[in-house]
Amino acid sequence: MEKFNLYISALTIAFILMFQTSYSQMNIPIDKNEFKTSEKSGYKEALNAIKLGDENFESNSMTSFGGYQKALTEYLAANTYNNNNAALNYKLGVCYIFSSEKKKAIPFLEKSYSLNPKVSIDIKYVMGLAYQKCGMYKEAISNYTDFKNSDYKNELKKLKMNEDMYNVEARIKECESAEKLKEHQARVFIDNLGPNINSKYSDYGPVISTDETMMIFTSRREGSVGGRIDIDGQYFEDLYISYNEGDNRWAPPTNMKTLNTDEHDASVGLSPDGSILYTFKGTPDGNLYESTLKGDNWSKPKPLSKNINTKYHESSISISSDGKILYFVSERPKDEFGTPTKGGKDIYISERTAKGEWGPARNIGTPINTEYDEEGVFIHPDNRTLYFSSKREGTIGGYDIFYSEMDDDGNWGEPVNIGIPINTPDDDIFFIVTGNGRYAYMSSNREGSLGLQDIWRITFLGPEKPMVAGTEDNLIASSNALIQTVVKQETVEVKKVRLTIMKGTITDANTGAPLESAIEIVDLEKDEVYATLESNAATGKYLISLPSGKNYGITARTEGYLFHSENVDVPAATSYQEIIKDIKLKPINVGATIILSNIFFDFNKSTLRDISKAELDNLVRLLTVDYPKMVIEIGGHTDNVGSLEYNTKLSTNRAKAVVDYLSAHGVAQERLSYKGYAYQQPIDTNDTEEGRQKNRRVEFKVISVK
Amino acid sequence: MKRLLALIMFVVLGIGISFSQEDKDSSMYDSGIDQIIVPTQIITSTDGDTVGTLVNAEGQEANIAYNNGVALYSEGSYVEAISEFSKSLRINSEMAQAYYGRGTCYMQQGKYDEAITDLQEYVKRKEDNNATYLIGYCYFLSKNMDKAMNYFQAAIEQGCTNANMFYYIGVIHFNKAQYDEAAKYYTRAIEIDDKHSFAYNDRGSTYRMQEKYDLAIADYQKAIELNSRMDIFKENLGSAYRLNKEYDKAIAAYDEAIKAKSDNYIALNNKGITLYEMKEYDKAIDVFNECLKHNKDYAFAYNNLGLCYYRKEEYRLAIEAFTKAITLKSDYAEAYVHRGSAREMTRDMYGACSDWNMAKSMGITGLGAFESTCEEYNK
Repeated sequence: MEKFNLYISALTIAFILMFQTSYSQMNIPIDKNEFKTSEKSGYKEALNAIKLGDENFESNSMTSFGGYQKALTEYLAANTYNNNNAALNYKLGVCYIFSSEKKKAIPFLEKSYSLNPKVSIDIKYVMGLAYQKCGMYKEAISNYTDFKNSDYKNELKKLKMNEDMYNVEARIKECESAEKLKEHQARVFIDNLGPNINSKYSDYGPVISTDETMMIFTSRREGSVGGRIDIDGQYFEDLYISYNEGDNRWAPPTNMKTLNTDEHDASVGLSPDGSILYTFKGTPDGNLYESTLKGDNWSKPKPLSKNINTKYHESSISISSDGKILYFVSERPKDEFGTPTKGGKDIYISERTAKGEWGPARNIGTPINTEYDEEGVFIHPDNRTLYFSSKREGTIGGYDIFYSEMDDDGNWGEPVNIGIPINTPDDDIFFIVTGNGRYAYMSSNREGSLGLQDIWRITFLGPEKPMVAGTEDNLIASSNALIQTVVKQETVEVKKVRLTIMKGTITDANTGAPLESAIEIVDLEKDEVYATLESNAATGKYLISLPSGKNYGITARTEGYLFHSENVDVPAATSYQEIIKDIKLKPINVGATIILSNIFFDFNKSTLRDISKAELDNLVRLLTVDYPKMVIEIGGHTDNVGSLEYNTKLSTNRAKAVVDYLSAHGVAQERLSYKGYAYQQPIDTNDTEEGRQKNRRVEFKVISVK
Repeated sequence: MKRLLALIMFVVLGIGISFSQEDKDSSMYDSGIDQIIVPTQIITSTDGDTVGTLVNAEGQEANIAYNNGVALYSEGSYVEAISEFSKSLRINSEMAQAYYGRGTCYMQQGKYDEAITDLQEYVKRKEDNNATYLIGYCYFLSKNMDKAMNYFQAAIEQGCTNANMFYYIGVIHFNKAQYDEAAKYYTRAIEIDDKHSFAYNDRGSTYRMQEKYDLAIADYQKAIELNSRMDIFKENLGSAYRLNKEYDKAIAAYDEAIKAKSDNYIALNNKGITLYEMKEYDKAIDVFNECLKHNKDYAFAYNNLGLCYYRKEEYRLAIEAFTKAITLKSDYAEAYVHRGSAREMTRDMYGACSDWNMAKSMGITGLGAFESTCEEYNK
């Protein structure tokens, strides 16, 4: 079973079952006598259209809406011969409810009711549903209430039908939630990505790189690998990839033929740097797979370990920007620690072990999981905001998208419904947010779709600017001076994304050729590895997500080259920023030098600060493991503040401190020399603080490699 | 005989028209001029010199001129009255009452400096807390509030219990946003004159500024009860109800204000705002348009019309209305904010950013971090 269909909510299934049941058991025949026309051919055509329409109407299964679409065409043809048939209007209304033109359902259903209020036991329920789907919640509540107060239970009993399929109380609650949410609608633009991305078939499940340059999605369009068509009349799912050409112009997508099979292949997650793709395969029980981008090639998808995949259904997945925590959805009855599910599908987390494997899964617990289903998990690269879909209390119908924010103690806050118009009365799943938090992507079959499910881009406009009515009064009776009432203007709060994106290319300093390089990111304060990743072998491109609140040491290293280090200090209050940093690695040759960016001293002293340890250990590793015979010189440099004598002494002592550390950690003294250059070899101006900071440095120079 | 009768009437009514009178001419409120406590004493041949008059022949002549001045004052012939008072002062420069009379004439003419000079001459010769109050009142009218307050305080020390004076002290405090003090003095005015409708109204406004809407409503209602012809009391009552979110009552009060004065564009504008707050945007639009019929240059109404269109997602019309508001009132920073927001919704980010930047340069705060968004669009 393909991924998308697995997400069809119980609500939707109930609707389809309801209509099928009502059709077959309530028997809403279209009176063919009403279609007699003066022309025999017309009569025949009308009857034929009704017959075909009924067949398609009845053919809808739990996994398909295709029948309604086909039925709609036939019924519309019949309707041209007689538009005053209550049953036909009823069925046209139902077909439109399941189309992307839901608003058209209302006039047909209203007409059906006006022609014959007893056309169907559930006419009021269906009218409520149509209004709900069109976002007219007051009208929906009114119709649902009429249905609730009717004698439908007895009528259903007579037909031996189960009244549970009409969960009118739940529908009313959904509409009430929607009315509340409408009061504070999310301020967004929701744009269809257009025909470059979307097709007349279902297109959904977008995953994007943090910097919004690459998107992979699932499509059931023509041209799928294997060309098979599923029982719902749509092609099997395939993965497609597209690149952003700027200004939200996405290039026509390419079928990822090396990953796609003649089975269903669906996208469910992407690492923030876009180098690891997570896919879903529905057979045999719904499992998660992983494919890695090496150069230009994606590896063959491999199933994730048994800590993640079980005999139960696993679906969506998202990985933290440090690559250490995997968030995923599973239907397993309990987690590996014995904690039972909260109910239905829940979100689980798995932490990467020291060996680099995924550890036992743990239910993420309350307040995220509920007795209802949770789905479509996405952890923002800031590692503090979790987006997911849920059918919990407070939805406006089907799955709604919620988000929860983690506090400084690591606790998840109460989930918040992301609101209307992002959420609709239908299922709203697969919501992903760009690194800068300004945009999101989702799939939906809302009004304006090019066909079935489409991919949409959401632009968050932020809080509304204060709207102040101009008002004044004659407050003082003895004066004719109008006094303008001062209106308190509330400050517009802007949710800051506390994330820094650092990206660029890693190349050979001499040839400019792109390099596949290991990148290690260290939390210097804690002296622990925050994340590791690799640049792309074919392009040399890399992308690092750095949540605010840490001082990062970033080291790029590859065999045959001197390592390169960068220091990126991102204070806690730093909001979103992008740093473009191209790194040129120097081949290991005599005379090659590198700046050791993560070595720090106390102010005006030669005492090494603790946060220098990671960088110093990089050097130790280079000299003891990688090049055990290399001879080097450590050079100390200062800015031009102070006398030459003072700076020579300071730079010499600092260089010596580094040599002493290396010596103490197993590097033979005779391989090490040091020199203080004071301010005599500046690499930048000494006229600015920024320039002076660059000039204050420790360098490493290769004297011999042997 | 006729003149004598007029003088007698002058004496009887000379205390001044109270703010509490039901039949008060609202033009007084329009002019902003308080009723003057007029020199009241008619000088007869038997009068002694208790008021600084002389009883000899020359004195008689001065008295006649003075009495003429009083009569002319009562007829509203201030120029002629000044002439008569001046004549009496030329004969008898110590005639305190004449200074008083001439000072009050100047006051009626809006010549406050001259009025103050004469009244000061009067109080040099005769301690009179009402005259001290009047000097303060002249300063009040010439918008020198510090000096006004000094004289009002001096009058209080001299034992003045004039309700109007306490009322004006309340106004000074109100204008300085010293609402607790203002309420205290308005209350004192009411204690002295429990029919002082202006004091009730203004105290209501004080409570309104303190967001004590229930108290404000009670005071405005009392003011209306005392003086039902004042449309501004009804308008203020409407605004208090609106701020208290009692929208139906607000509409009713505004309608009463409009009934009392059909071209009351202020009440119409506020009624429109009430409908806007009730989310009755179509009705609000009608009311704002009605308001603009009575004052086509009323920038606030255009702004509010724009807000209605904005809420109806008719952004082009909203932009048009906000632009009109800005054209009429070029320093209307809020309208720039609003037009920026409407432009944002039409995806004219350049225009939106330009408007928000303008509003910010005008001192509007609380716009959020729009600059980063604008920067992105400028790339």
